[in-house]
Amino acid sequence: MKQLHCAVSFGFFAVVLIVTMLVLHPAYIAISLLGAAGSLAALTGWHGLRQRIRWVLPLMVLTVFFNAAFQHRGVTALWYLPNGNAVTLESTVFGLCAAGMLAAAVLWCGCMHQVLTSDKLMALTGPLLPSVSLLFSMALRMAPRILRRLRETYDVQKVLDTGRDPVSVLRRCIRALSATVSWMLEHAVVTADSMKARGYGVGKRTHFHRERWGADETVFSAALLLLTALTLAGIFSGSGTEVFYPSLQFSPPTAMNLAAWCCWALLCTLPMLHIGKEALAWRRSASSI
Amino acid sequence: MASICIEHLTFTYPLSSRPALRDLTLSAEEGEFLLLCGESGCGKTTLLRHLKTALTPHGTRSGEILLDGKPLTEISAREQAERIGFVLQQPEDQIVTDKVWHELAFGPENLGVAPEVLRRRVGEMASFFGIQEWFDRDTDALSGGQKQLLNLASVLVMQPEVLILDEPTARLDPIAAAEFLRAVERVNRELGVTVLLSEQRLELALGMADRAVVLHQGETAAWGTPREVARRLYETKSPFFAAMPAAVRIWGGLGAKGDCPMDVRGGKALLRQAPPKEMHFPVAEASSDKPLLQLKDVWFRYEKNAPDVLRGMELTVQQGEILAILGGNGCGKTTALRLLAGTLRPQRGKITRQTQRVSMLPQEPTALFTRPSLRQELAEAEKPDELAALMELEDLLDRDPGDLSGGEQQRAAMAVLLARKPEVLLLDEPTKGMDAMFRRRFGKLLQRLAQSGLAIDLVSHDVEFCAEFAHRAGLLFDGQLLTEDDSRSFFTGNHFYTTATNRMARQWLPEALLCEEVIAACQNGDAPDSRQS
Repeated sequence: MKQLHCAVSFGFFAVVLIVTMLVLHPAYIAISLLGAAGSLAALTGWHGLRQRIRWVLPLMVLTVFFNAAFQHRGVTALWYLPNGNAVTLESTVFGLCAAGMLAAAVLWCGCMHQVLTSDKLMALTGPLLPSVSLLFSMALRMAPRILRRLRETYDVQKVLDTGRDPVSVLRRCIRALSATVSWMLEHAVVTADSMKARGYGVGKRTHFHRERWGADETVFSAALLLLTALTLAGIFSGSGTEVFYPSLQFSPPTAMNLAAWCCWALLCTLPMLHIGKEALAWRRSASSI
Repeated sequence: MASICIEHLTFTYPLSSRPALRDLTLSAEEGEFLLLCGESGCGKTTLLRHLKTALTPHGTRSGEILLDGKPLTEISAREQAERIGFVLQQPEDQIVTDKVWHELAFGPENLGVAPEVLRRRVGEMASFFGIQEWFDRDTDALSGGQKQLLNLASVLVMQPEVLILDEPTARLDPIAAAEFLRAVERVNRELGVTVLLSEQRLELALGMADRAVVLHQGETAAWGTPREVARRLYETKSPFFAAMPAAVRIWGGLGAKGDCPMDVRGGKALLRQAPPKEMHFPVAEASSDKPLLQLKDVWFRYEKNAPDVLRGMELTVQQGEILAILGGNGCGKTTALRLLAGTLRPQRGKITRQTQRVSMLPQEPTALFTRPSLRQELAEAEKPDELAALMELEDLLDRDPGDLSGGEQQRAAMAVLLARKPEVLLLDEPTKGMDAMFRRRFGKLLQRLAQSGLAIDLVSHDVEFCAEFAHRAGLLFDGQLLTEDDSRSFFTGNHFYTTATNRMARQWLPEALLCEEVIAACQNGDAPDSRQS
């Protein structure tokens, strides 16, 4: 998955995120959530997934709780709160679906973060917005330097001025900040010189990237296109309609709908399939050594 | 390939009464390696920046610069970008993008090179310099030496005919600097690129160059082959002779007979002709030995799961003593200093402090400056004028400290520190970017400060400086101070981590560290007391 051309992986994440966020049908949400969790585990290992779940789970619980406690629409009352408002089945289910959708989106974004690294994003934006892409790259270069520099100047000021009262601390902070800002300007001049010396601004820039389009990309994007078309057709023919209020009405699991859900499930497992294929290829080549 | 010709160039900066370059005429033939040297502020940078219109400073100028016989002003910016490569002093600031591969592609991208061609050029250059191993990395994660090598490679990927380097090794440690200069030599020899290099450290560069030019106050003081330059400087008794490699200085001290040696091997051959008599040299002693700061069994690491940087380090900083800590890159020298300064806390072990008045000179001295002028920086001092005179800053008091040159900033930073009357002075690579003459004066100043009771602890790569001026020296390795001794025993006991002079003369004079000592032994006079000024 990480080796795929950035346009393909970008296309995949765009489709998956849009469908996940727009279709709140429980079947779609559940499939998306499982797919995202599986993909993240395949990309980062169980450890990465566990770390993510540690803060996604509380987020889900909070979403369900707030929706159930403060949203009183719906006809099926489960029980009554002390202030007389009802906790309804509908709002609880809505909360569950919304929480699932949020979690799925977060996990998909986690996968995207693994796959679309900064240089892939730049390869993506480069041909369309070359100066934005360069600016982005320069910002990524500057950010860690500025933070480090702030830390250093603060430390130096701390040695010079050892006071622990808030006034000294504030004075140190301001001095460190001002020194860092003038340092940045100073150093930006050198960077500008280095850019000019290498011909920045003499003509139209070309764009260099390391992306390749091979057989894998063709197969993956064909599968992506086909499954997207089928999934969308399924959604538009009513396999993903959901009504929460006043009472729950979801598309039932008819044969047609089940087929549409299967398409969506296949779409969500594409990353796992690709990673699995890579692993298999590796094992086969490793065993032949 | 191309030649560069500079004809009667005179240049004056705006608001300056004295020209920075005065009627300068020089040339570099095709494929030549030309070395430009001179004390800091002699006009090296100004001159080199004239060789590329995009970097030329503002001011009034006369004279002409020709590239292959064509005036530079008539050559388009695009052609100049392609044909003239320029590497600046600061390894960090020259890097524009966040990834190594992107940085390599930056120049050709600007010129609109087609992606297929670019791919090949980048690949070629990365292989030539052995960059492929860190091709994927963030530029931020590279060491200083790697950064400068990347800068060189990303200029060469544009396939220039002339390569100009402005003190490229000033911010590098000696090992990285040597590696970098070897890379430049390779470019010159194997690709035939004309090289113009300005340098402060001549030990290695002088031997590599085909011709050398010494600038003094914007004029040529000497030029010719390195050997001719050495002889000329010797004959005119130029103060710049002190910046020459140790072998050249010994040759001069012995009367400049025969061919001038350029390196340790040549110096050894010279000494073999008339071996020096055996001689003993005094051991420098500190004026007092009251401990002020002590590290006891100190362990430190930066992150929970990171490896230990210091592993049971023991160190005592004593009053009236200059202590030098040496060691390779990333061995924990700066960390030890920051622990002494109190900006880091050890995970294990104890730090005892007899004084709270500790000052630290960081590697980047600009971190100390927070005011718009030097005068304001020194406002807290009791006698700011005296301090300014001590650090040779009288003319610079009204300047913004950020605008000063590297060596001047170092001096200004020292003044700011001394203004606070510290008892312990911690110096991180203090001699970086200093020219040979000021470096010597700076060493003497440190000795005077130590005599007046200051404790000075410096970490440095500068073996020659530490050997000459420190009382005690230690080697930091594997998180511990391995050997620690008075500096003469320390350096003469080492095989590599010792001065070029010692490596030349150890066969006859195992205790000698300095040129003057060897010269004195050869002349069989008394040992000069150069260590106690």
